Amino acid sequence: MEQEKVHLRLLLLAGFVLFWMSAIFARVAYLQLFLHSEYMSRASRQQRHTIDIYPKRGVIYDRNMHPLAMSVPVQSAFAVPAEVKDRAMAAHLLAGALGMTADEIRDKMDSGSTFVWLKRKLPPAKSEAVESLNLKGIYLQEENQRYYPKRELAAHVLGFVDVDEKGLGGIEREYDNLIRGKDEKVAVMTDARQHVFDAGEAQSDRGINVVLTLDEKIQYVAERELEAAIAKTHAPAGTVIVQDPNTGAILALANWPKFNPNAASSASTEARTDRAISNIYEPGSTFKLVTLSAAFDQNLIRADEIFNCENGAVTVAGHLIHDHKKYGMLTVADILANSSDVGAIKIALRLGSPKFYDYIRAFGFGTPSGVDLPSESRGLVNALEHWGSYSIASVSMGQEVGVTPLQMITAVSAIANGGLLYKPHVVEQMRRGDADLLLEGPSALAEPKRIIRPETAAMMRHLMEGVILHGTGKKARLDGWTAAGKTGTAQKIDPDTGKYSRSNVIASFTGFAPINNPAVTILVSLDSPGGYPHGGGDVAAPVFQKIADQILPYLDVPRDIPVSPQLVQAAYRQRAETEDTSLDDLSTVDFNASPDASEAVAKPEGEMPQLQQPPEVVMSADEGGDIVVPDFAGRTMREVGEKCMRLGLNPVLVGTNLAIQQSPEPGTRVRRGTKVMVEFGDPPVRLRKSK
Amino acid sequence: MATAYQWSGPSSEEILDGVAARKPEMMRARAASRFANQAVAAINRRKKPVMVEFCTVKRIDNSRLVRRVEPVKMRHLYKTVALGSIIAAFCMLYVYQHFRCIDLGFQLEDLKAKTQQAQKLNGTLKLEIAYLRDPHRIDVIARRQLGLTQPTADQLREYMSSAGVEVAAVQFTRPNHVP
Repeated sequence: MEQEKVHLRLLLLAGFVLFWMSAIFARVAYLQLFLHSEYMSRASRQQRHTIDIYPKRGVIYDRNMHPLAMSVPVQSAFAVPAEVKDRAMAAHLLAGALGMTADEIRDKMDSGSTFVWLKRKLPPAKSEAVESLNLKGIYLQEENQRYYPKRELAAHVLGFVDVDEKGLGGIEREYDNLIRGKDEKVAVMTDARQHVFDAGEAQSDRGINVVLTLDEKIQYVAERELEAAIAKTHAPAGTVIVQDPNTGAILALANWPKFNPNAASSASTEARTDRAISNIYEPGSTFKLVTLSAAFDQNLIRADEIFNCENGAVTVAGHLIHDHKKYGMLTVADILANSSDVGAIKIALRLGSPKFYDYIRAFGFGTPSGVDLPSESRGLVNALEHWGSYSIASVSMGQEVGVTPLQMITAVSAIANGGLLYKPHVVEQMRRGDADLLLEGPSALAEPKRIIRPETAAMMRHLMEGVILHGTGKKARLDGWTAAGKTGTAQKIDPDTGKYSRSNVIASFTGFAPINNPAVTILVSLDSPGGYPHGGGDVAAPVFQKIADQILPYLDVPRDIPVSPQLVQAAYRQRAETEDTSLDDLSTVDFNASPDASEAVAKPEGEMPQLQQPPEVVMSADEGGDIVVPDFAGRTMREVGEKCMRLGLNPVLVGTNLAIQQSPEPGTRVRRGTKVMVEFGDPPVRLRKSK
Repeated sequence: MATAYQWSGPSSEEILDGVAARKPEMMRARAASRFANQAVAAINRRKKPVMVEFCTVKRIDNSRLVRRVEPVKMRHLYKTVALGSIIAAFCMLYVYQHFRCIDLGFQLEDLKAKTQQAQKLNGTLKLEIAYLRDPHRIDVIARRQLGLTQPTADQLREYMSSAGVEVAAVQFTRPNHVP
């Protein structure tokens, strides 16, 4: 009986255990089979979080990979007002940390929004201060801040961004979708303590890096010399462009007024305007290059052909047009050198309106150049059917036509490189990591377009050299390099009278150097320079000379004429103010101060610095030096040109194919800069002698 | 050979005394109570007429008998054991990997955070370098602090390379020169 009871109890116990285990098993099976998805989603909701990855804008480099614009992560403070218990206390504490008033913060938190930015893009010190307060409902969010470390340098090319990192100007705007990248959400797994133990990698496109054709040193020289010219002439605006005529690449693009893209919102609209591509002006005499190029290309004129310049006045379709000087008989070369309006009009009349118009369009005027910058203007060229009876006369001397500085320099570059019109561009390449991206669409580099014959370009280069040697552009003459160019003094229309003003002009100079194998084309344009004289040859040509003198050695361009002997002022500075400054204390430098721009800053007379001791004057003799003329027989034109450049000789290349004759003879000793005439042609066939 | 079994255990008093002598512990008391009940039952049985029971013991030597195990069953057994072992090993490996993954996940996130910090610092330093290389800043220092001036044309001398250097010079083609 007792045993039965025991057995019964054991049985009950076993049954209970079995039931208990079955129940657990059944529950587990139920959870696993029927509630699996629900509980998985619950777990996922608890463990899984998504965080926003804000794309970091790509870096913008110059051609030497020096960063011009870059983004670094910073913190922004925001509040969730519902979570802030004591708003008055929080506002009081945050006011000190954020540098705002307590009322401002309180107003933001009381605005009724569930989320309010307190202050965005905080400096590290302020974000640390906010973090140390550890206030409930106050959070920090990581964002990226765009910095332009070179400040105003190339500001108009780079552009700027708004507070949300959206490009609003320049390259930042043109390639915003590529530089910006895309927003992304990344899933992370967290434990109960919200520690992340598994986070996915951000896969979206990060902003690509852009390598510009600009060179920051050339850009700085251009900006410095432009600023100096502005200070000297008191011109309200100006532009300098430096272009590589062999590719169309823009090496520097400077505008005045300029702005700091780090604080673009405080700059005026005028300062943010890229005048080089959007400002239309009447080019004046620089447009005579187009007139003469067209006439030469049509074989209608010769360089030594003489035109009667009518003693400074000519009547076209009943309108009397005066020249800026009274010229009589001038050759075509002199017409360009002296910038005779009457001569240019007569040449244009011989050319005829239709052909002249075709050449104007072929040079790229009246259509956007296609530069990879936003807001480019197409210029203003009236359609041929809208030309008046004397339009051809006006256009031939650069009136009744509107161009942008970029269009003008691109046209002159075409003359410089032998007649090929390249598309100007500022983007060299785009990179994602180390890989280069190919440009597509309108930004892709197009094949150059031939607009004039090489012979025409060579003739124009020769005539443009005359402008600098004995014409209106003497102040653009370089020491050590040949140069060619054209001055322009375009009268502006007086808004009060509606007529051309005599005092308000746009003084410009466009040229290139050296003449053979040009390395750079430079355009200088000053809007309404003050004082007198204010012509392009007086105020713009010296700027060309100063810029070219600095960037040609920098680009390692060989000299092609001897350096003239000159007085060399040894490095002497009035250093009274800086004598005590040591290299250990560079922080005292006022970076906002304008550097001494090669005695270019205007100083009123009588305020010249008083030297404490007379400057050392050293006479430098022209060493010259005898150069042995090499034997060029059988060499290609390129080889001869490079060899002459290297030796400092001035090559005159005639014909095509291989060199067959030369003058002076090989082995002759000559001075630097001597012209060496090399004739090219089919080499004589040499018969092999039979043994 | 038969053997008669009779109760020869202690009397009920002895048992009760023995039980009483035990300590009143919970566990032991429960056992003692059960034992006492059995003892009382034995005493009650003693009061009945003695019944002699006989049991015949036959000693059988079966040590030479060998249980035949079928090889197929053994193979099944081995397979089952091996399979079970493998499954168990895999289960343990899976559990180990799972927790190891979580552990490594934490370490990985730590390293990622450190990498991000380093990248942030790197970016800040690059920005500082870019500021320091500002041509305007260098120009101001060169002209105002060091008293440097721009060289004149005849202070610059071109490097006249010898014939052997021409090959090396090819590598330094002018950056903006297109052949």
